[in-house]
Amino acid sequence: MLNRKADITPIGESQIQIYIDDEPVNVVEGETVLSAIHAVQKNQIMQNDYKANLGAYCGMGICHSCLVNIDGKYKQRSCKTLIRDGMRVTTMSNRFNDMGIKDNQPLVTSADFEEKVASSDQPESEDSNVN
Amino acid sequence: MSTKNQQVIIVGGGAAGISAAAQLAEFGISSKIIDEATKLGGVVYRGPLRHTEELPHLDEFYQKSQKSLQDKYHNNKDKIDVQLETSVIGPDGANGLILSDQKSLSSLNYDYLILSTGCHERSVPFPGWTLPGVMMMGGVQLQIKSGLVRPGEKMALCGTGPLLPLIACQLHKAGVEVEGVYEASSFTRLAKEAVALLNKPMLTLNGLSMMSYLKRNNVPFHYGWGIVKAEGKEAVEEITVAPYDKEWKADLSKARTAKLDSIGIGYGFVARTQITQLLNLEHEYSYQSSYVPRLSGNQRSSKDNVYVAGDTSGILGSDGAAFEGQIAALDIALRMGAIDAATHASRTNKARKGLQRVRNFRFGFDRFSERQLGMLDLPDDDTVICRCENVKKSQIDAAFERGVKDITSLKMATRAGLGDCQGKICSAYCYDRFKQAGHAERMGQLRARFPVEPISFAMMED
Ligand SMILES: Cc1cc2nc3c(=O)[nH]c(=O)nc-3n(C[C@H](O)[C@H](O)[C@H](O)COP(=O)(O)OP(=O)(O)OC[C@H]3O[C@@H](n4cnc5c(N)ncnc54)[C@H](O)[C@@H]3O)c2cc1C
Ligand code: FES
Repeated sequence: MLNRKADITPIGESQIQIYIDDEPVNVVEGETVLSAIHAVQKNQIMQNDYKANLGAYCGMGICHSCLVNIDGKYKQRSCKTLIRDGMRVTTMSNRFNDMGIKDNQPLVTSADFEEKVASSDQPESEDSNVN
Repeated sequence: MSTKNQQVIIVGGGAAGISAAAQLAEFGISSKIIDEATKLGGVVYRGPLRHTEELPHLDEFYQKSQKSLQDKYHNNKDKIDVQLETSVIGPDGANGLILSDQKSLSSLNYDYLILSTGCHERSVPFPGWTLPGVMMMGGVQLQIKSGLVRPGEKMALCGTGPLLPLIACQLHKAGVEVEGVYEASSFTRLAKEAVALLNKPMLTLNGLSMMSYLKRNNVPFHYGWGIVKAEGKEAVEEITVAPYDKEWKADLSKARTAKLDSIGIGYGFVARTQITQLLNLEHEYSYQSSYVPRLSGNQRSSKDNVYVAGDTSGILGSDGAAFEGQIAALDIALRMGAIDAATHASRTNKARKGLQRVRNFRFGFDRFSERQLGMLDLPDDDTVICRCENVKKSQIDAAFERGVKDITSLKMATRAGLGDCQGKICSAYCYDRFKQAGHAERMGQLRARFPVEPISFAMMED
């Protein structure tokens, strides 16, 4: 069990837990995955596609520097995701760097739309592996 | 046509959005607020996201303002429909929006639209700014106010403006050891603004009491100092700070270091204009807020039925945002026939006067805190400027040397701004580089792209 050392006020009786990197943490309704990560004093949260370590930067969904894997889904912003009982959160994981792990549900970002527009006069490719 | 069934949609439930909805409700007009957060209130007044018995780190002044904003909503609840945890990700046809709630997409039509999506913080790159533990100052504040957790145990704050002492006090009361607060502007620049600050005596007094709290608790406050770099193996362990001159150029001969585990950086804000851009509203460059929608009187944008209020139209703070929301709502009420011209004029005048007082106060601080371009010297060749696409300063320099004069060409040449964040983080630095090179007139705006928020394949299939 990871210890919550950075809470400003006590979380009280916790009925629910999530797993951060396979270790259980007590959490409470309403809080974000990021506040649970910070509560156990972790700040290295993700590795980007260029292998740089990043941590939460904006805290409000803008910077995409707090992406974690949640229940198998990559690239979830921990600052914008609320905890759910039993959730499994993996930090420092990156689909490109985690060799062999297949993303089960990729996200569609504006970059994909942009690339579509740029390549719209070329034949559609079979490969829909977007990131 | 009857105006009874006309839909007024408000995007963003902060000070501006709630004030607009409450003003409409007073005249019997229903509206709907869409906000991506889990609670109303916006970045300042959202409050804690989980249950807590007490808020030892937040002062009475703040708790009162928060309650009065929440009351504006509660007292008018029957006329304000609220849809939370829902992002507006783009337009749908001429008078529609596409919404995403993480599970599915939907669309929503409006007759009148108020965009009050607020702002986000301005990034200033320096060596080590991408290390874990280096956060934006408002982001730190969101962690302690809404998350009720300390993002670090020993921290410093580097930045400018009234939020510095406020957040330093909140951190200290939350149990963080505050190593020091570094305000980039000099005290003499602040002293020059004494008259402006007296436009809001309560706020000025509040500011003074924060300064004395810091003094009593031995938290050093350094005027005319700022960040130079952050270092650490896996995360930040040490920062270097130095005196800044008038142009905010660091005097490295007097630099010193401090050991810590986290730092908050806050050199200003940028208007959140992704939606205003996708709606093709006209925008203009603002040195303070990056690009802002061009408005005519009463917060009306270049599209007749679309209004912009609050920080999205230029950073003024929450009091100003509330007045702007009210002014937009009054205009809509007049057009819907809910009030007569005389009522409209007298109420709008009153709100404008309030707004002017906020501006007079605010402009004093804005002059004091005006960002100086000396900070552009901080990054070295290897400093990453675009964190999503790993674009380094040397690549940006090379593009400038090749004669790039606008932001779209810079994006094509370097990939800066092409990543997941859509350039929200790196564009502020890039605009300042163009400004420094004398291209502010022609650099253009880094365009927001659909969808503003990532969506999953499963959502698109439905
Ligand atoms: C992190 C941070 C901390 C700040 N702290 C302070 C402070 O302590 N004191 C102070 O005076 N000022 C602070 N400011 C400045 C502050 O933004 C303004 O003073 C004030 O909140 C402006 O009110 P607003 O209504 O314009 O915007 P906000 O209060 O920011 O409200 C905007 C709302 O729009 C929502 N939104 C944005 N885009 C979308 C979308 N596409 N779809 C759905 N919803 C959306 C957001 O979730 C947010 O709730 C802070 C700013 C930031 C960014
Ligand atoms: S911390 Fe910036 S997106 Fe989460």
